[in-house]
Amino acid sequence: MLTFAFGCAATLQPAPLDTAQDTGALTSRTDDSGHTIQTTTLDATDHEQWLYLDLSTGALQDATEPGWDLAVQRYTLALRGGLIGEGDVLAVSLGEADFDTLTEAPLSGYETDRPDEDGDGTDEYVLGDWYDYAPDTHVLTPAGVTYVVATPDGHHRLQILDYYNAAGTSGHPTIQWGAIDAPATE
Amino acid sequence: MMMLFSSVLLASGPSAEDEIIVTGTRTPKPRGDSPIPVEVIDHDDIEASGAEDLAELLEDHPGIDLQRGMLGASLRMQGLEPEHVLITVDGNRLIGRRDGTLDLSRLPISEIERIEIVKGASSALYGSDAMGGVINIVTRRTSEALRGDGRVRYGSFNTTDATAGLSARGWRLAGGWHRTDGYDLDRSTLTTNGPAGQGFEVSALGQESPGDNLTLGLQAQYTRRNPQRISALDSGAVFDTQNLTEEARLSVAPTLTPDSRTRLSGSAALSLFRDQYLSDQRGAADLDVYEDSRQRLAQLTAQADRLYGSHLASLGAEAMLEGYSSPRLSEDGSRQRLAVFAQDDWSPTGSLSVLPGLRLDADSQFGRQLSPKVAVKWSPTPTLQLRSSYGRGFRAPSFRELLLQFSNLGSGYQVTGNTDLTAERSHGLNLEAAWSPGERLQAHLSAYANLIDDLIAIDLVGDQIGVSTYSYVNIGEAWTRGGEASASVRAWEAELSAGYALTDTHDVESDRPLPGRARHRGTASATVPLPRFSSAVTSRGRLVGAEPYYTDSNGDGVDETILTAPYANIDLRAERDLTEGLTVLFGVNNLLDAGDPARQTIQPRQLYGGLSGTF
Repeated sequence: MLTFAFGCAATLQPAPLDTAQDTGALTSRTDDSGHTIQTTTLDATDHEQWLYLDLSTGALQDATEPGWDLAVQRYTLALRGGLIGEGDVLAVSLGEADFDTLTEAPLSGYETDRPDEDGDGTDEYVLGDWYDYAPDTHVLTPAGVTYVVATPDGHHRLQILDYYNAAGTSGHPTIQWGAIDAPATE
Repeated sequence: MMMLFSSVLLASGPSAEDEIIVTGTRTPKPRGDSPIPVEVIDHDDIEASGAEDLAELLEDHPGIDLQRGMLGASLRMQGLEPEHVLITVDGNRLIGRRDGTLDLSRLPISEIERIEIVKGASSALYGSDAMGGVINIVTRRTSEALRGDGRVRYGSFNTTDATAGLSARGWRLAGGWHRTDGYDLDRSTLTTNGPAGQGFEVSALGQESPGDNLTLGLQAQYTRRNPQRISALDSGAVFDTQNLTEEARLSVAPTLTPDSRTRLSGSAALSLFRDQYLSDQRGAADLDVYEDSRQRLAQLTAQADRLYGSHLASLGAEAMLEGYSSPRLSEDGSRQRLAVFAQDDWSPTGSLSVLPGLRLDADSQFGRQLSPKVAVKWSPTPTLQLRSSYGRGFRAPSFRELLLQFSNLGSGYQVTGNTDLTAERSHGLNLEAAWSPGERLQAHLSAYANLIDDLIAIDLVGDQIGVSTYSYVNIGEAWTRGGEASASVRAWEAELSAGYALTDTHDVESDRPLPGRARHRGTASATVPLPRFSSAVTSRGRLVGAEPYYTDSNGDGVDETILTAPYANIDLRAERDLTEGLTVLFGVNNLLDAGDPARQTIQPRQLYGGLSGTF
């Protein structure tokens, strides 16, 4: 019978990797007002598993651990206690407010993630408008939105800077965040 | 007519109208007698073209629309897609299509005797895929005497081509080796346009006559190509891609002519194709892709032709076993097809011939297809021939369309096959007038219309942000129509020819022209021998009008139309005989340096020089 085992050429092999992977590293800087800003690129490429990020330490945790604030999967950032996990992390979107000069959290507007309300088939994530989507190239570009996330440990400003790692692979959000002052009460 | 089959065996140095061709009616026939118009690119044309592969050879032929892209070089005819043009070698189907595209740049031309082109629906003889037409590659003939030939050429982009062959006693051994650095039309990006690569081919063919009336054609051939390029995603990911293809073909073709009125012919052919594709992401392995795909095709054909008075009746049968294995498919594909065809080439008077034909294909996957055709040729005067034909065409769904299981989550989409697909169907109408008042002038005028239904199109079946799911469905409907005008003149020793093709297409669902078709295309060529200097100068070129493309670049859900800029591509070539059997040649391809990185990825200006010799 005819065989599929035809071919005399060698099997093609990818070149060995010679560049270090850039995910997982946490970098810190201090802004003009003395507040610390942390930046990390997460490997959130898995379509099933979530990553659980503790904003106070910048560490990734198990879902069962108490300290995490945000769950991340691909381009979705979920607040603890909204649609995932138990807890009461809230956030507010400040649109294109300047991230670097925001040092005091707003007083109001905080909410949590909710199931689909407008019938577009996607759930209502508070941190759901961080990107612009190009339908022809499927590329996600950060929209420059600044958020404030209120956790049991305090308030954090947060912004997503990129969705691709240095090698251009999607599912690698680069997030910068840092603790800021609590809202001044009236 | 009585001499039909014996004249076939004699065929030597005929004029254009007497040239024996096979593709129009699937029986050997002088070209002028064929009720179906057949265009021929003969061995001299191939030599003079300066082309190194089939794509380069065909791109300046009138009415052929050659496109270069990521999957290689493919062609359209009569405004129909590459998958609607059947490409055969000595009547056997070529395999190795990727995504419908058969990369013509991987097919060497040094072993081609001539190319026969039949435009318009021809499924009544050839079955699936012959909607826009058939291109039949006729392999080089062998010689009884000992003959050797060789050629080497070097040109810009470090391009080297070397071929050699040896013929004796009706057998021929040949081989070729090719390499190039490829080309890059935009140095500001990492990506490249024309692939670098190397490849070789070896072939053996022979003709044996074991009996008085029996000839046996035998062929074995192996081709390897490995084009490499750098590509990128909009996300910034950069890939080194390689596409290592291997193709082997084996065929045995017996022909028996028990008497001058009868011809029995057959063919058994086996084709194997392996395609290794590697896309190696730079700096990571997350998006690496490696695919090892294999295709196979076994074809058995038997045909009987017999003259009954003014009728030449043909009856044939074909069996095909087809297989495809690829990691992109949900399972290995395999199918069998049986076909019978019948045709009556009837010449009631010397100036009129009528040819009805019918073919029935029964396939294990898509079921039965009935493809009729009727052609009429009338010569009101000896110098004028009028031909018209109506035929149906169909294309079987490809294994990919049936069984694909592909996700590119890096780019955010997935595509799945559909096993419920049926064949695409078309109606084709062709009219031609050929006027040849003498050896010095020939002129052709033709018009065509095709109506295509049940076109298989990719349709969005599910959409989430970040992942869109597409599948294949028989939803498309389109028409193409147009015409061609061409003329060739021989003045003194020079040969000049020019052609024009008008292509008008319409995608019914989208209510717009089909993408990528230039409405106007022109071709021209001139060959001027300079016997005083033992030289000849050849120039050929094409003028391609604007091609429309559609893309939704601003995300408003409505496609914008992008029109490419018209361009002209001119090739020049000069050769000079140094001594008996040794020729030196120089040439420049794409003299005007046409092309752009976005839509017209044609090779920039290339200079070359070489030597060819025979003994």
